[in-house]
Amino acid sequence: MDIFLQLVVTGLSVGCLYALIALGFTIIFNATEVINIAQGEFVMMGGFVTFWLIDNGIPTWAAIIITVLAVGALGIAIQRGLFQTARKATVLNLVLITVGLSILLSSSALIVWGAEATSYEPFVTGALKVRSVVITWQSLILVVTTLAAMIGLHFLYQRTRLGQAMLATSINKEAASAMGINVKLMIMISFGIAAAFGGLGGVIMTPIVPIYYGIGLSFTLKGFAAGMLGGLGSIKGALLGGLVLGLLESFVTYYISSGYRDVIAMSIIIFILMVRPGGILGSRVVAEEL
Amino acid sequence: MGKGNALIDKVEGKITASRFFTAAFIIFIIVFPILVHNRTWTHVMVMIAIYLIVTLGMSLLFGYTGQFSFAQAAFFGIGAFSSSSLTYVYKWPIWSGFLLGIVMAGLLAFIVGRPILKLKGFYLAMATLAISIIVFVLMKQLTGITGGPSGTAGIPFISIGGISLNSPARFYVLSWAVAIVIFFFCRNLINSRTGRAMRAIKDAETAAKVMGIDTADYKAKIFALSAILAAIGGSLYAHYIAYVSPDSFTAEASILIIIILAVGGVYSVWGALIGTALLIALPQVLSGFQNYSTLIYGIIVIVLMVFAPSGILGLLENLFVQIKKFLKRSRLGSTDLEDPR
Repeated sequence: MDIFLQLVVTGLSVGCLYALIALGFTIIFNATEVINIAQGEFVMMGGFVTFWLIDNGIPTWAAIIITVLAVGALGIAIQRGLFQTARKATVLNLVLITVGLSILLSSSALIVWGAEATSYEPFVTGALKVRSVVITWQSLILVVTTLAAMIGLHFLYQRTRLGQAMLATSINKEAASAMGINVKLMIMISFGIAAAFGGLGGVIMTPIVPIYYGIGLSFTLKGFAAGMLGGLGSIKGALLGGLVLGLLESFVTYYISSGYRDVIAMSIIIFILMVRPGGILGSRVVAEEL
Repeated sequence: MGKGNALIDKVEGKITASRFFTAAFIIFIIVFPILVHNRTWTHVMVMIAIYLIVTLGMSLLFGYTGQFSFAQAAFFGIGAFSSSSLTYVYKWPIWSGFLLGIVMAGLLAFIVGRPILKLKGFYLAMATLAISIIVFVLMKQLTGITGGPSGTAGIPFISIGGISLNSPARFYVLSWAVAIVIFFFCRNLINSRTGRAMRAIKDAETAAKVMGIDTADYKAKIFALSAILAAIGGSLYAHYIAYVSPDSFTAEASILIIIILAVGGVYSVWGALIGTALLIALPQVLSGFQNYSTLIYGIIVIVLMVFAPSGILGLLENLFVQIKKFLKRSRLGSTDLEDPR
């Protein structure tokens, strides 16, 4: 029973990371119909930049804030500098731009920080023990932050004018533009938020799972899988998909084998796609031409 | 009227250009090994031939279904491991490896393709990505057959007429012979009446379905064909490099195929050729930069996608059209109202 609970705890905390990544995917997808292959690299950058700042003497709390802002700014720069410049680009071209970015960012990380796994101290060391179930404070921070991010985003979209404008843009660009909304700005901000969330995930996760330059792609895949599972396009879907994926992986790794972990996750994805492409919660956008 | 003629002009221009390029292409392939004896570059050319075969499979798939698959590398791997396990582990003849690869890839693609090709765009992409990962993990786990994560070495070389194809220069002949046959097979398929009819189906899929054509079935067949081509490439790869490991067949490898097509130009076999040649030769060109080579590679991909969205072929075609327009204008005077002929 305690093993079961421990698996649940592990699954939920990893799941929160996946949820954050899926959230970033969802936001960008809503805004531009693009699957951001570089999303995992934002996570990686979050970890590395924080590491670099802390290494250079910046206090941890400051490092976190600077990193998240920096990664967010990177997202905005990418959207403004590359996507807007690519005039006649199809969605495929844009997706391949993100592929190029993924290659660029990961090889940059290799050049700057080398090939070894990197980590830093947890923000709060130690763990909570409930009977014999261990919950590290850092995982708890991850879970709380993820929930806060979701709630914050929900608040943004539902209660603020900016959020409403962003939502309108993602539903129908032409109509939003006709209503006087600055569509380009909304998309830029969406990118920035999505990147920032990815970076945030990396910042908190690195003390738990050390990062290395090539880790981006697997985060991208997991985040994408989580998003699809929950229903690409919805915040709750991203959270649900992330948690479910995290739990699935946790149990499969323990009860079956760690080698087959990815197979299970991917098989579930195919199954979902065949049976219910809209994901568990059913997304607004079900059939889309690439 | 003018527009109609301009269309014929463009098509005829394309056909003429195509005959010229076809000849140039074949002459180049024949002349290359005579003039160039550098082992590294010959190796690059062999790899271009092998990847061209795989990419052409994707070309067919996209040409007929408008869909992209992230699973090409998986089928490539199935071909490679079929060959490696049958010829190295079980000591069967070489052609059996090819056959098994073709059958397995084709069957898998057809069976899985029927349900998933009903999905659109990136949903399909995600499904093929999932397949790719599942196959990859299986390749790593089924150690008895595939040699596990560290792969299989010592795969026998192909022998033709008593000559063992154990060097780039010798394998060049086989690989390009196969590649050229497949290249023209694909080109003719795309240009044939069957090909045009199939593209018409793709463009008016609802109409086709209403007429009772089972589009999912034929899409699955195309998918199977593209998988078979990838498997052929894989078997060739196994007998050339003589070593296969699952790491060559990851999702990233599939993404490379898609990049190749997008960079070259998705709409024709020539695009596949240009893209493959460029992106396979590029790492060799950049090798002097070591760690920075991947970085530069990424930058090049980004730049090409931003400024050449229809691929290099698209750029060349635009250039071609501009040149023709310029020549016409300077010859006949610039009256657009007149029939340019």
